Amino acid sequence: MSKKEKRKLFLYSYLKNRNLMLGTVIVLAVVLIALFSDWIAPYNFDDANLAPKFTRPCAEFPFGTDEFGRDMFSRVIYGSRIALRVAVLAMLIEIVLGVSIGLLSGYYGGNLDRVLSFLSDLTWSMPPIIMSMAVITVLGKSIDNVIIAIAVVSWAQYARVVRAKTQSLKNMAFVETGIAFNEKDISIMSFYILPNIIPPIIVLASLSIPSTIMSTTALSFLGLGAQPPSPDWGLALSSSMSHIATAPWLAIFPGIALVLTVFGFNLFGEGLRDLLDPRLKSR
Amino acid sequence: MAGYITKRLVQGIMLVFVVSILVFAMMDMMPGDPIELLTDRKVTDEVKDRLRAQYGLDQPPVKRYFNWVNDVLHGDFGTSIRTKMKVNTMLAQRLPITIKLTGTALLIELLIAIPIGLLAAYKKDGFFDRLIMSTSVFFAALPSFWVAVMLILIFGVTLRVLPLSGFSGVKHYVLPITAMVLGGIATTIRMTKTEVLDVLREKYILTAYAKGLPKRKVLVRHVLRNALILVTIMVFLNIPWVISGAVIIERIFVIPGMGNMLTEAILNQDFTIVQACVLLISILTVVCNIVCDVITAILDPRIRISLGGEGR
Repeated sequence: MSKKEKRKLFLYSYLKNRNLMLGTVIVLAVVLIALFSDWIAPYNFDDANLAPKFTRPCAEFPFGTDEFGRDMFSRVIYGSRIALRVAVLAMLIEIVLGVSIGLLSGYYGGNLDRVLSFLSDLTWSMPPIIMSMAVITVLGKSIDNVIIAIAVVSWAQYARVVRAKTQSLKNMAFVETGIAFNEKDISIMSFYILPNIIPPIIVLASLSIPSTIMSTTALSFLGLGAQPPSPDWGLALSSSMSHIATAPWLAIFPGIALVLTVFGFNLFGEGLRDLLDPRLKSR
Repeated sequence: MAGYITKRLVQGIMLVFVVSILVFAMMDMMPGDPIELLTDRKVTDEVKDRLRAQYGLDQPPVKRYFNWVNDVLHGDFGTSIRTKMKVNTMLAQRLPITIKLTGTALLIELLIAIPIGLLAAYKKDGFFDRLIMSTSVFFAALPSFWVAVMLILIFGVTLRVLPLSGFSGVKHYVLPITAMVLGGIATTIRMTKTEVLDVLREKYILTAYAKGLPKRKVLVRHVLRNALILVTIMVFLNIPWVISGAVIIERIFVIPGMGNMLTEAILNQDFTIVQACVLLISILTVVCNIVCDVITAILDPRIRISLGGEGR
């Protein structure tokens, strides 16, 4: 099959997969909303006293207002920025950590591999929320520390996959040719092996985004992440708890935004996995 | 077999050892001197030094680590810096609540999820399967804390049939457990389906059909029996996850369990409690993983044979 035909086939199966398409649309919408929050949101997220506090959803304030008379619609819009920023930054740190550790331990093997694999098995087996909470205890509560905490506890999934792939690629003829031509280890790893493990990395990354968003909002919900007046969805949900009887809209809208985003990224990630790396499906 | 179990045990002990060092080091690096946090400016330096000595904070880190491990091995998790209570006493009050809560939630979740997963796998691509799979994609996107908030809104605020928070009677269990079950059920259903599909693809199932066994008998005698392995695996693999899920649920429903204690301790920078909780949950995770591996090895003849072949 020529490259062009391959691309055509990829595009065809992409467009035919209804779940993947729906996921793509939702993901694109969330990304656009996050990028253009300033244009879309009618007010700034911390503009207070726009209306009497706890105004019911109406034409001017579609999601109502909160206990400071802030427009919930604008806050939910701006909240998408925080969710995506955390997800993308945490993902990048995880990829850098996980891929380099996986490459090193798969390529060199031996004692280095034993130590690194032990570390990644350790982080892999522990419940991430508890471990992130422990890391936040040390670093202090803030949304940036949440990024670090999540990255520190979830790099292992990349390391495991990259390690296994590197081990099998190491003995392939083209890599051995490179070694025979006296290429440096670092260039073997980055120019021979790395390009071949990009598809599974993309799949893992897109699958990890929804769980990262869930953990972030959970930590913010507990008061360990974003701090007021941040429009973070988790924080919004936790502060809505004290007004649940009088202003239920404060709990409903940020929650719907969160669920839709996670739902979209799930569909997108799973669709991409089926397309790029069907073997991962059975896990 | 015995060799395999010993190997897993040694691995487990090593994991716990490394975790204990990490947990200790993390809390040791915590910003802010706990004594400064506790006392106000009026307290003299001598009193602060005496307090430091009392909590053993004046000794070098390695010494303090071994003191701590020694205490923990003797079942003493130290004294909370904030509440001045023994961590043991606090745990003794709170742990049973968490265990009751998570145990019930786990049981209900499995009782619902396993039959559904089994049916979905058996009638793969049928109406029921497609219905379940598409709803489970949606349920997987529901964070348990939002489910909890919505349950409070529907049953507590609007219908007023169930209490919003607190923990005294059976009624208080209903909403938190429902939220926990709904939060985790989608993953469990999907896992069950995948595993059962794997069993259905095995050659011995084909053999069973080939010798003329009716469908129902194959399902009960061969598939279900192997699904038993699956159930045990899922129980043990799920325990750490259910417990970490309880952290959030306990917070929402103001349940005085271990999860809530951990959150409060982090918010108050009460490091002895954080150490104790994180260590306990880590040990639990390691133990569950080992038990899971050992049970699989005993129940699954393929693993048992391969271990018998090379392990001895």
